[in-house]
Amino acid sequence: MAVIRVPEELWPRRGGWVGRVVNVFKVPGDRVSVGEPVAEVEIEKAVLVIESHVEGVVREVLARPGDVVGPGGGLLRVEAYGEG
Amino acid sequence: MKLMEKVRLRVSINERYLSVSRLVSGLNIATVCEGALCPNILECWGGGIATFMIMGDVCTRGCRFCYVRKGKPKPLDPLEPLRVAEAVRVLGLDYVTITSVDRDDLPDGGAGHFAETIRAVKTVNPGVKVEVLIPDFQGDLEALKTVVEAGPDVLAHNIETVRRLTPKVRDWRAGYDQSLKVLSYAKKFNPKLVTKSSILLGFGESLEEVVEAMRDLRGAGVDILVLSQYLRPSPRHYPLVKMYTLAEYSELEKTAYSLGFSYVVAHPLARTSYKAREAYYSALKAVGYEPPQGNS
Repeated sequence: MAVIRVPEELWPRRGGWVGRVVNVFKVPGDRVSVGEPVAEVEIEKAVLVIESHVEGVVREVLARPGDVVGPGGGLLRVEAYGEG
Repeated sequence: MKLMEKVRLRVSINERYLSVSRLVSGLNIATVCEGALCPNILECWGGGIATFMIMGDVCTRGCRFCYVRKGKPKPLDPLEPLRVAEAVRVLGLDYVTITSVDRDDLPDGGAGHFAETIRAVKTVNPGVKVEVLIPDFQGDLEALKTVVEAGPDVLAHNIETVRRLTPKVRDWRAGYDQSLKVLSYAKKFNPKLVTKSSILLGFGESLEEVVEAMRDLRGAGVDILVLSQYLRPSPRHYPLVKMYTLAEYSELEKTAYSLGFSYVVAHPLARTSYKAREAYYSALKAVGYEPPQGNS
C-alpha cells in the first residue's frame, strides 16, 4: 500500500510548519491517478493542493478536514495498480 | 474572519526540483527558499533556480514578518563561498541571487564573507551575473564598501515597509533611514551599480505612506523596486492587515514608474529575487546598456 502524504520535500530543511486539512477529495473505493489533486491543506501562508504520486484505488482516508498535519503527514492509503 | 482567499499552491514536485534539493543539501548550502517558506519554491526549484542564503540559516535579528530561524548562529564556514560557486556551476546559472542572514555577531556583519562569495562565484563561473541581497551591516559604510568593491552586478537591500511601521515590523536594530543610507551609499561607492529594494505590503500601511517610501527609495538612487504581498508565516508573526488586489498592484506599479524606477516588479507573490534576471537586464536597458550576447 502506498501512502499519499504532505510532501516532506516541500521546504525540505525547514520543518516546524503545520497546516490544517481543509478538503479531502477522495473516499475509499475512489480511483486516483498520478498528479491528481487529492487534498488541500491550509497553512498560514497558503493553501497547499496535494497531488497523488501513485495510480490506484483509495483504501483508507487517513486525515479529515480539521486535522492538523505537518510534513510527511499521511492523507490517504492507496492500493497502487499492480499491487495485491 | 478571512481577509480574502489565500494563495493556492499546487504541490507538484518534479525531478528538477528534487535535483536542486539534493544539490543544496549535499553541498550544505542554506536557501532562503526553504528558510522563509517561500511560496515560489515550487516554481523556482522546479525550474532549476535557487536563492542561496549564506552565513548559515540562523539570523541574529528578530524581524516580525520573517520566518528565518532566529538565535545564535554558528561560526562562518570559510569554504562556503566555494561551495556556493560550485552550486552555481552545477545548476548552470548565468544569474544568481545570494542573500544572507543578518550576522550582528561578526565585527564586519559578514561583509567580508559576502565579498569572498561574490569573488568565488565569479571566478568559478566567468560571465555570471551576481545579485546580492544584503543586510544593513548596522550602517557600517566600510562593511558596505567591502561588498560593493567585490563587484556584484546588483546590490539589493530591502526597506521592507513604510517609515511608520518599521519599528513594529523590523528588528529594533534595523532602521528606515539606515536602510536608505545603505542604498544611497552603495550607489555613491559605485554609481554604475544597479540597486534594488523591496516593500512588503499588507502590514497596515496607507497608500500615501507607500508612495512616500517609493519616493525615498528613488531619492536614494534605487533602480529596481519590488512590491509584493506580506504573507504571515505563522500565527506568531506580525498580523496580516490587508491583501492587495491585482488592480492595486497595477496602480502602484504605474506610480513607481512615474517616480523614475528603471524596473518595477509588482505582484502578490513577487519576492526580491523573483524575476531578478529580467529585472536586471530591463533596468540596464532603461539606462542605455544592451544585454550581453548569450543572455537573452
